[in-house]
Amino acid sequence: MISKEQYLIKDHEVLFTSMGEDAVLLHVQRGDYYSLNKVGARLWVLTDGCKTISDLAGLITQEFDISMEQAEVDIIELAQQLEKEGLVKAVENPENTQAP
Amino acid sequence: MTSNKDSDVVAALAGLGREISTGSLASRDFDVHGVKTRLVTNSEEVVLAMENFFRAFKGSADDEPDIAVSLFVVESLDERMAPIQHDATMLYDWGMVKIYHSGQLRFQKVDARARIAADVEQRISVGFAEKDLLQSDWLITNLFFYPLWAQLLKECGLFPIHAAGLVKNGRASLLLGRSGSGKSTLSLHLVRSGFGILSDDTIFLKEKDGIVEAFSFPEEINVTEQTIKLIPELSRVQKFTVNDLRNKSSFSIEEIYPECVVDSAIPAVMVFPQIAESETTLAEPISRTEALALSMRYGFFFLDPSTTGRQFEILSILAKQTNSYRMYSGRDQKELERVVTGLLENEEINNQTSGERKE
Repeated sequence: MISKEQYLIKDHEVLFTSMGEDAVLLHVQRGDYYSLNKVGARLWVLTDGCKTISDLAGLITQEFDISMEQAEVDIIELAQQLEKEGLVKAVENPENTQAP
Repeated sequence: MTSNKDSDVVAALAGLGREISTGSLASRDFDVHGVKTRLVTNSEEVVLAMENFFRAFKGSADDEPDIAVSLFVVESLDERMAPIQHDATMLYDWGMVKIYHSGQLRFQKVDARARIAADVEQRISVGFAEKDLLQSDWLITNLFFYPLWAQLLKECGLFPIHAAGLVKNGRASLLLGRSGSGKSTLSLHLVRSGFGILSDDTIFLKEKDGIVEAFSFPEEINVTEQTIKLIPELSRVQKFTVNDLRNKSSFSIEEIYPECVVDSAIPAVMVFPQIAESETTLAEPISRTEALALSMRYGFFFLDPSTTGRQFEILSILAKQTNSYRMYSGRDQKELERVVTGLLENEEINNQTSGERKE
């Protein structure tokens, strides 16, 4: 289970392209692709390996009409899906971690 | 990182090919939309097949080639001829054709009778094939030569996509779908009704200043016996190439419709056709995100670590610069033509409208 204190690290094999409000991710090695809605696309852009999920939720609440609690729940849910697909990794300490 | 050992592998294979070839080697140059390819071979059959394949792309021996390809026809393959390195991993498996990669090297197998190695950094490729594999032009060009050459072409900025391209008033409509989705038959009908054609099967994409342009590749057009019977002017075709493997015949479309091949055009519409079990044709607009996903599914030749990022970028620009539709193609060809023509004309109306707004 991912917690709000954890950091999200993107896999360096994942390419991102913005398609207007939405976005598409491509895993280069596997050839699998995934679409993100506008909140997911914004989250991907904001994820830089230096922000906790709580930090990200704070930024999302500034741009979208959503409460902090709901943003944290939604981000954790999306992060779990992304981690299951090998697109990100949730870590306690970003400095000692390599991307998946 | 480049290792000296890998840099020498393909060049050494070219040396082996020269050494084992009896008789003289032939050399031909081709210029495909600015990318120059030099072919060296010991086989007259390969020369003839390649000259026909590249009939629209004659080059000059005076030009320094961007890509060098050597193809050697041998009695039987042995372990010296482009062996697949033990550390190579598979990139793609089409059944008869398999592609592997290891660092800057790519390897291709065509069942057990042909092997090709390519170096994507040096843009050279050397292949060996047994005589009995190369029984048709299509086997020589599309199975033996094309797959790794296309990969080297991507390194030069020209990206093949599995699509038909039809052109009206300088703007292209791209039809992307698997074999059997009706691309060739629809292309033929649209050429009959006055469209220009880039290709019925493969076009090249190139990005410049944020715009993706589509370039022609007029291969022979594939038709079924049923289509030949339906279109009266096809009785004038001098020579059909019969492809038993694909159960189709092919011919040069310029033979019947001179001047129909267009060199390049800016894509304005992407259509993803599939055969519907009805008379009527239905086209529904799809989002740019879905268009990108579908273009990757149908359009990708294969993903290669050295060019995938660039290819993804080009397809995403293409999805953004076009309006895209999923089309269920009905049996009524006239109506089908009307629908595709309507999609492109709609696009022109939209463009004119936005142009007026800008002014």
